[in-house]
Amino acid sequence: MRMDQALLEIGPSQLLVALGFIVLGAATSLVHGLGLERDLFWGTLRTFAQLFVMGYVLTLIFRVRHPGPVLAFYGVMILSAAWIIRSRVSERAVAFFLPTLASMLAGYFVITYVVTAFVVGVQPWWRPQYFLPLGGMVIGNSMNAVAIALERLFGELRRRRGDVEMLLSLGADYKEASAETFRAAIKAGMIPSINAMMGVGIVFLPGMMTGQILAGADPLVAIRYQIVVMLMLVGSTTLGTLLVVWLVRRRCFGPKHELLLR
Amino acid sequence: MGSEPGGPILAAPVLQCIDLRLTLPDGRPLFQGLCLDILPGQYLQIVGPSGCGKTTLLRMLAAFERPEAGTILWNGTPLEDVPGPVLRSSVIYVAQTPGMVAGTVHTNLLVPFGFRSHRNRPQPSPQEIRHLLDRMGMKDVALDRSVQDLSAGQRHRLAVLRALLLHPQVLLLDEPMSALDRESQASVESMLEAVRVQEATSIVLVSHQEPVRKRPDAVLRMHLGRLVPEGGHENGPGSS
Repeated sequence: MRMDQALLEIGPSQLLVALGFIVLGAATSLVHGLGLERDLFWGTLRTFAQLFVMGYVLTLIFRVRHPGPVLAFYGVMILSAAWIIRSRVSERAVAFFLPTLASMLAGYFVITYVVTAFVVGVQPWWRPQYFLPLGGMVIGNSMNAVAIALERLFGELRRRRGDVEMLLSLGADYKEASAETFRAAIKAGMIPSINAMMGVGIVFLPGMMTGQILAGADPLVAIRYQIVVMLMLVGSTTLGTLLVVWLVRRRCFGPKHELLLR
Repeated sequence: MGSEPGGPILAAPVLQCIDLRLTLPDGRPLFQGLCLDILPGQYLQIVGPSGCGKTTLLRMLAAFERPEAGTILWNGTPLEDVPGPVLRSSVIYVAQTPGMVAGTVHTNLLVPFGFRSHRNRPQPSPQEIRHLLDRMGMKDVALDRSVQDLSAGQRHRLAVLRALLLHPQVLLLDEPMSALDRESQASVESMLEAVRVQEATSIVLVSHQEPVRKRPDAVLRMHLGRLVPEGGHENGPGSS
């Protein structure tokens, strides 16, 4: 159901006005010597470039009407997210990129498929107008969860190395010796999406709902979508962190179940 | 299998190091063809200055580290062919600063019995544990006392006892006496001796100090990346 007011278009001049916010950030950085001007410049440039490219690519994909391009695009989004996680997580002693990518591909596809096919009930389930925005939200939010969970896994294993090795030296296998760290890492990954459910609608209005309302949708329809999204994000962060931590944890130990992190 | 206390040791080695080599990241050679035989029921002490590789050797025997070259055999089988948890349920390493899980003395002593590798092993009763704690000179330590309240020496004795409860084939002890007073040292010595005699448990103890046991089967000194008998030459007891 659409409301009376249609979506107002944003033209080039309005985009220029919005750039004033970046000028504010750059000025603050200059005045206080924060050294963020370069990052602000590249960040702004990338925001424009990436979103414009995304807009054109999505337009193309919407026209093709075939699951192939939709799934390929979704795969590229996940690959990019896995790459960002790789650069964000500082650990270099453990090769975690491939298990992270594999877990994200498997876990996020399942969640997005369940939401589009069974919760929203889109026909066909891969319809790009639904599959890609919903999948994008899954990836974007769970990417942070996975990064947090991996940081916690590596950090805790290093910090608790003495305790982990004590358990190993008494005959524990790597799973038994790292059970507490495993739980801590999964919990760290899940907490942000649970906290988001606590604050949604009170502390902030989430992006999807805001977008739908701006596009003229009935707020009561928009909130239902948002509820689905919030629940979906709990599912995707849970499945994402669980799979990633489960696979990467094994790589923190050698063939004799010896801890490789020093 | 096993040996009479003080008598000749005839059995095959439980653990055998053959020509181990290891170079430190700074290029300094740590082990240069190190050889060692650990026999059933043998009480072996390895001495040497800090940084000479004593701890690394114990960690290698427990498969926490790997040599660049050479072989370690456990009951004749190369360590590469033995799953880590299987090895460590029989060859138990007690670190210089042993870790504890949060909880009581009793909880800590029973931790290993929850592991798959010890699941079929009967748990000792609280009475048995009490008796063993007393023998370790810990009469004043209640089973329900938090390990947070224990001294470093008490924690170390607790760690040794936790390992002994698993009836290991080999016990690898890293500086076990460093945090103990003379009386506690004597209690631990006596307990280790009893286990060695009754269960043919091999005990390998490393220390940077002088030999702690009055009559060891062998005292070996780490010298230029090899083990040599203290005050003697290579090929003495223990070093093959």
